[in-house]
Amino acid sequence: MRIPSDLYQKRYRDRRGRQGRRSRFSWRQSWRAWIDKRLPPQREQVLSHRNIFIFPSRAGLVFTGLLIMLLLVAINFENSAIFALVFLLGGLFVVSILHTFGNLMGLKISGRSAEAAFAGRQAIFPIMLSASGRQHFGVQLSWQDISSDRIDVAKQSERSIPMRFRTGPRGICKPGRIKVETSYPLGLITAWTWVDLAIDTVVYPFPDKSAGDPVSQSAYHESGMQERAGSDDFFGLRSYVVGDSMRSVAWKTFAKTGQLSSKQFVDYIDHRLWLDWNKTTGDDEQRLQQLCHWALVAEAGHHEYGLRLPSVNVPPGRGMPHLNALLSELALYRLPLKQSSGSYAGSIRQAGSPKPSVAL
Amino acid sequence: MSAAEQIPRNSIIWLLSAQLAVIIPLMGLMSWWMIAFWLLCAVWRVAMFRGEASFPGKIVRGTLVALGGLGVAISFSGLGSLEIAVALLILAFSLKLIEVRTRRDMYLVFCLALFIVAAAFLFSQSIFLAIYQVFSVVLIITAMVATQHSLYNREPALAMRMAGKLVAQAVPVMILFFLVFPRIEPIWSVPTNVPSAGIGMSDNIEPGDIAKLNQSDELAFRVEFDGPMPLREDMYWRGMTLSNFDGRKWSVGSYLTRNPGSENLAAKYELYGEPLRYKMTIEPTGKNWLFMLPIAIPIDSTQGSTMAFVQTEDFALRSVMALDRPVGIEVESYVNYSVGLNITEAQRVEYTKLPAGFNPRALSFAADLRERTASPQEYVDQLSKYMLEQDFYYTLEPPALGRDTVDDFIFGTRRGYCEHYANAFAFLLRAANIPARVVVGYQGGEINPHNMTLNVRQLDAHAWIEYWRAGSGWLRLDPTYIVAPDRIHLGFDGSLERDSEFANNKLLSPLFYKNMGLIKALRLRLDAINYTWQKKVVGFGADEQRDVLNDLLGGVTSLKLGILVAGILLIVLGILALWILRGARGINFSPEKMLYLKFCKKVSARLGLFRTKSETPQAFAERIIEKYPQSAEQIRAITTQYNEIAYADERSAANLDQLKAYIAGFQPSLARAKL
Repeated sequence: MRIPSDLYQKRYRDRRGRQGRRSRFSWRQSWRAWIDKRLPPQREQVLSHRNIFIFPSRAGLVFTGLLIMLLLVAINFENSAIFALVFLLGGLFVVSILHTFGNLMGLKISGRSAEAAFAGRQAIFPIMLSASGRQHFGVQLSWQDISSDRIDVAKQSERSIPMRFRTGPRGICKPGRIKVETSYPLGLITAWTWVDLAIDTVVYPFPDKSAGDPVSQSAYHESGMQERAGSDDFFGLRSYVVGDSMRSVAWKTFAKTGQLSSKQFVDYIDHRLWLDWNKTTGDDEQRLQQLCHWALVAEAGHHEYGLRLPSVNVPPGRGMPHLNALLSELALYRLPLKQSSGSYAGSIRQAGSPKPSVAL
Repeated sequence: MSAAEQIPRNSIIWLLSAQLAVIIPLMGLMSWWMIAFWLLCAVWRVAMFRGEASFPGKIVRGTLVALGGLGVAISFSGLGSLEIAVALLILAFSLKLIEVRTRRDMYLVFCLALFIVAAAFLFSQSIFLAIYQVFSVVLIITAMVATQHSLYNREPALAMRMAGKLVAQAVPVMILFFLVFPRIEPIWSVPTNVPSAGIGMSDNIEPGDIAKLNQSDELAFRVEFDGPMPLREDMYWRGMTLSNFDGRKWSVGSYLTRNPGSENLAAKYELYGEPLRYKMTIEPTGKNWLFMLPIAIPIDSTQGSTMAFVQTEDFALRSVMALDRPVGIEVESYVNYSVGLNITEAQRVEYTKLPAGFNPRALSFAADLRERTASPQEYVDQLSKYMLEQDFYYTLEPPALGRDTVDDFIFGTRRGYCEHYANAFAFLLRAANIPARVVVGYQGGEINPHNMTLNVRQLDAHAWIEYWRAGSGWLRLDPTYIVAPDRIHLGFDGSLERDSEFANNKLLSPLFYKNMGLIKALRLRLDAINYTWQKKVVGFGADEQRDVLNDLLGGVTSLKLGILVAGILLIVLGILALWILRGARGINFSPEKMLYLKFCKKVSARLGLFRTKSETPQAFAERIIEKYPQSAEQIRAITTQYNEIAYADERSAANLDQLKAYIAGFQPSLARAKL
């Protein structure tokens, strides 16, 4: 896993982020309620007259202005050819309403949940556009202030668009409605819809670099080392006990002292690192950030590591799935889970990342 | 600039083509440097696109604007405001090219382009320009479509196909609105596009003026007769009479300043026989003169609110408003008439006045001849005879004349053009105290056999004279006819065909080629088409609209009209909607899937078993067989065949046909199943 250094310099955004504005506009809430009812969240949506909105674009309004000017010219100069031109352009405007509408109609949009991201960074949601009976041109996806390029989707084909989304505070991030729009063919009319693809992702706390090295902070829990009989390293001698292997008898010592001694070997199954809530400082969020940093450092090292939170213990382990599970615990620590899936691990599996990693 | 706002390459390419297309029709209006200016901007844009140049800074742009403005001020000084406006539009249009950065910016350029397309129509509305401009519009629309494509679209033709389709679909809407949109009066007066000086008849002539006019192929007016056409030699399209002679120039007399009521005039002429009835479409001249067969009386119904006429003292027709756009009028002409039976003493003085000190030899020649003749009419006859017998020639390129034009002509060069003859004849008549005046107008015209219209062009311009005889009034006399009857019989072109010297000189002139057989036939055909266009489309005004709607609806009421418009619009848009949206619904299945679905339908309709969404064909087959084992063989065959095709690497037509046959043969029925 690669964590760019600049990541550490940034703090994740204020938790109030999206919630703060909510109370200010009540109409916004009622609009949300209306659209939620009209276009309920669904993993997969086919656009039809039910969910497409259409209105002249800004260019369309400029064009309308041009038509009015030309009409005045035609009237004042009593010029039949200009009259005909105005009506031809007006006809184009009307016809393009149908074309723009048709360009979005029948387009299937589906989304998958993104891989997890750190708070404040961008998660990438793969959005699929699939066409069946017709070609779709110049379709643009957008949310927040991020828009995709214009995409052409050929007949009977599928395009996957990685849509970046700037995450908020840790927890579960639901990007909400994505705007799907097109102005094809003339750019005079815009047809659009907001679909909620019911996708989400886990947002890990943003790692706090100042937390330092988990080892030097003596985050080891209990004795960091534990010996166990083994065959690797010489540990010492003890009196021979019946049953000891003849190979382990220290014959040199026997020759010197006449006493039978057995050599003791041990294996070190050491370095079981416990990332402990109690070793961190600050408020809850700061502690989680420190733990997050430790987990990343621990994964980069050679230690097995576990997590101890006041309510949860994650037994030591190593590897990406372990790290993701651990970071998810950090992400969801003491957050009310309103998700239907309930379990967080389930949500991660749904994200279905083939090689589990933290998207940065 | 985000990637989403970048302008696709195709769009720039189409925009450049569209710009070139809209500029071409205005080429004649523009100066060469404006073309160069556009070219500079276009090259710059291409260089920017290839990353070889950057967007121009403020200083560069400011300099270009200033230079362009200055250029327009210099090149277009003295021209109408319309020309300047169009020139500025084209400048803005060129400059904008190196300024656009985003897709949104492009729309300003598109709007400018469409405006310039419209502006070209202010200068001409011919069918050829109209067809050409449809092509320009398609190019602009193509650029618009290309703007909306993905940045990575590499199929420029795709945008053009779409644009063509869009324009074709917009045509029904255009026709509908063209027919029903109310033609209201101009809201405010606008600068009109008066043809530049040099075209059309002026209010005065001196020798050489009409010859200049005859170089022009431009149409003056068209005539459509309501009955048989008169003979060519009788078609003297009389314009104005010139009664003031200053020794060199003949100009319009003082009668214009007097304003006689038409009731006074009516008493002064007598009209005989049935009138000729015809419809004229007159090209704009910027002047008030109308050219008619005398004596012409406009038919009331065509005297719309925009056209009003005055009959002048010399029985010519003048329009009250200058002719600044094509007008159509219907007139009746009484070719058998006698006018001015009595003239006042003041008139007699005016029509016999000659400036002192000009043409002394001609004066003495006239006095001599008059003495030898008994009556004024004999004098005229003798004069005609003199012209015929002496070696006078008719030529388009006569030698220059000195101060005493008549002396030099009669006793010197003897080579002249119609105005030379008219000038000399009128002078000699006045010298003998016979009232005379020069008449300018057109003679003859070209008959287009395709639509039986008469096209009168500037090259048919002609000058002749009228003299007054007691008891008969004013009489027409064409001295050219005496000298060169071919000019009148065959028309201007015909007389030139024989003048090989002239033709050789003009080998490269269009006048020469326009008479070659095939080209002439083609030209006449095109001309007929253009005339129909001018009459039906360009001339489609409030009156025509009322007539058309009356024919269609049998009396126009706003209710009927509203229903018609709404109905047609609904039908047109409904058809278009079905057409455009047809591919949007449903899924296109592969042919084997379609066949399989047909099979499923048969099963559900006849056996009442429905395939569930997740069921594989195999599982479905087993389920059917369980209930209706008697069809097992057929069902298995169909299912196996379907799977084979569906999972084969290549679809073979033979396999498909086999599946089709199986399904066709599958005719289960519940009745049989129960047995």
